[in-house]
Amino acid sequence: MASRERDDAMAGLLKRSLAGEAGAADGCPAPDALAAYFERSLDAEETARVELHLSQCGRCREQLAALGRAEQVAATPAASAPPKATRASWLWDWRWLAPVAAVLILTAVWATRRPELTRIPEHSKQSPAAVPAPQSAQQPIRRVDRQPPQQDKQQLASRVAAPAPSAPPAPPAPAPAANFAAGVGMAASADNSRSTNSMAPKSASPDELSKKAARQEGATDQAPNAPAVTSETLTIQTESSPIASIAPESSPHSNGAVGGVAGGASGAPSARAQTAKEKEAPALVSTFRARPEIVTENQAGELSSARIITTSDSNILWRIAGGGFIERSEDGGATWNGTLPNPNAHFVAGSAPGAKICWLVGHDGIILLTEDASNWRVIPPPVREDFVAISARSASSATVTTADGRKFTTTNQGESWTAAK
Amino acid sequence: MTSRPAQPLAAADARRPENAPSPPSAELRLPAAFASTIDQCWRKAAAPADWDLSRVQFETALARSVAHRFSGAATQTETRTMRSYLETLHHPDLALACACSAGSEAAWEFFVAQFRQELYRAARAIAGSASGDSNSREIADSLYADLYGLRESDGRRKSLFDYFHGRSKLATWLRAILAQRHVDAIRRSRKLEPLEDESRAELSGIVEQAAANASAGSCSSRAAAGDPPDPDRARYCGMLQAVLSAALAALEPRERLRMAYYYVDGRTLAEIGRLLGEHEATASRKLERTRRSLRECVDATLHRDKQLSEAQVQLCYEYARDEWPFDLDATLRSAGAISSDGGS
Repeated sequence: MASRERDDAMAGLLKRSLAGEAGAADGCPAPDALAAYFERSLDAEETARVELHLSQCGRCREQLAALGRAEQVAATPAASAPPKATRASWLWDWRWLAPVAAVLILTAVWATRRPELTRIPEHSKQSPAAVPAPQSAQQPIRRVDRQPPQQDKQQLASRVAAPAPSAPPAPPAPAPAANFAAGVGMAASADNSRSTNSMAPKSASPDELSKKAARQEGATDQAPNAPAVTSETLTIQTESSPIASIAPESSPHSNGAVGGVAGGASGAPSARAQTAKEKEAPALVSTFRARPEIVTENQAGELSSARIITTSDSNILWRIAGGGFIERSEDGGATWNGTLPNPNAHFVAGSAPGAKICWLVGHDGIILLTEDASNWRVIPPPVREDFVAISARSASSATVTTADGRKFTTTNQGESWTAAK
Repeated sequence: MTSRPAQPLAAADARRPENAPSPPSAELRLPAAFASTIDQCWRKAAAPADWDLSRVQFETALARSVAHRFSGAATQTETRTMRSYLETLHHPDLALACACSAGSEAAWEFFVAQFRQELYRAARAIAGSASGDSNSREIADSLYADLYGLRESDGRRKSLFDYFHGRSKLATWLRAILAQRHVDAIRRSRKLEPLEDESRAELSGIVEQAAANASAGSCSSRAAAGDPPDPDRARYCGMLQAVLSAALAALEPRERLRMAYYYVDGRTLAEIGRLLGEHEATASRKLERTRRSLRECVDATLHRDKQLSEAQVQLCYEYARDEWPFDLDATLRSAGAISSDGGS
């Protein structure tokens, strides 16, 4: 009889032998032990004891399978949708609200203290305050240092908000410069993430805005009938596109262009604007990306301390969304699916060496790992301290960094750690 | 099946009678050596003020958890082990359970807001689509009643939260209770006896016959009436069974569990991987390795200890195949039907 035939012959006997073992009715683990086993948080001795019992007790195996079904449902995006309180509460998240408010106030103060900006050149008055609609979120948007007419305001609000239907309404911005900041804020808030600081316009610091304003040659005026003529290039990041560039407007003295929300480039002023944009964009992009919240390495396994975690596949992204939520995108950030591995955890960094492999670290020694992009398990930490970074090379190998700079490395999924020198 | 809170730690209260039960409301205390650990746990719990949860109440919950985990052997367990255990607990969930058990309305409202819908979804997933929404709601609502504490004992409302010890997330613990109740209900209502009970009775008969070299009857109750008895058949079947049982007993618990998932429950490799926290390919590889090692062990034992020739060993397998044919497809189909019905 061949080896395979003997295996088949033994199969029926195995079923009877495993199913017929006595003594399994007693000693069933309590729900707390079963739940802890399911979460892989029992120690080795307890795990072996529970598994020995499970191998003999069909009732407990059925319970565990039922528990697995419930956990799978809980891990699905619909089930992990945040409660309404969270959806609304992110609007009042001080992490983005305070910087936006600061920018608004500073730009308002700057605008009121720059009398030269209130002068309106003759030629700019003659030009219509045309505000062609941008075709999409990726179209360049020109900032205007003026108080646009009411119609323009509405168009501006609708166009900038268009890329993100779920974005909150922009706060009113009476000052022209504040309009700009509001526009940027609206566009940036197109990011539905709960950790909006990664995309918030606060990354454009007041100093940067002041420097940009100093380069302008136009004028702005808070008066509704005083069109401004200045504009500049800015780069913002939206939900649906990596970069959306704001096309610069040429100097009003040279081309008489009037700022507005432009959907495209046409004519000499716009052509010059495009050229200026191309020149300015790289520098501004690098400035914008200098903020630590959004600095990421685009290679799998590289150190990532940002809330966006990249993988070797540019379409696969992870995002730490706050409140213990982790989100994953398979289309380069256009859409995100969220899970809630641990509602009490405060994640601060992650590393994804594979499309479905992701490590997360955070406060109080929390380390989580998923190998299938859905089920998370707790990895025993080397120390019960706050972790600030992690670099993972595979599902087994990773190096974590504590808040005080110590590094620990594991090559066996946290079964053992060695302190890095 | 839940356990009654264990006896208070000997170091904490030596005056309590040995066999006296510890009501959950009793203030169990941990030794003074754990003060800093308790402070750390209390900070991590971060219980909101409106829950009216006192530090003493929380410490009692911690002490109860320790007592439950170490089952009265606390004095023998190293302090470091207990401290490490306390640090790994889910403190915020434990605080919530403690506050709810103590009757805090604010905590209960928070619990309902956070967990109610999730529990309904879990109940639907556990009970399965066949049982309908009403059945799953009934399971979830029954659990809610027990969590709130509709039963009273010794003048005190008894809440199921008393049995949460923070070893897992509160949500997982709740799902485990739902799963336990559902499976118990299904088993009570099953018309057919579970396979394990049936085969246990048969197996006992087989082994007894083989051990006593009985010649009456055959290995299986399905032996056709009128067939001539085959004493060698019974002997070989019993021998193979006994050797295999011994080999199974020597397996690691996880290996046995993997085999049970596959052969008894008919789980797919993907399901086994999920249940054991390993990749499907890993589950397949380990299953194959265990099966091969079992067969090699059985073959070696039959040759060496039972002094059987190769032909006789082959007969053992042939008789086993005839007596206990194993239809994997049927087992998988049956397991799939069970899963879709939510374990029914």
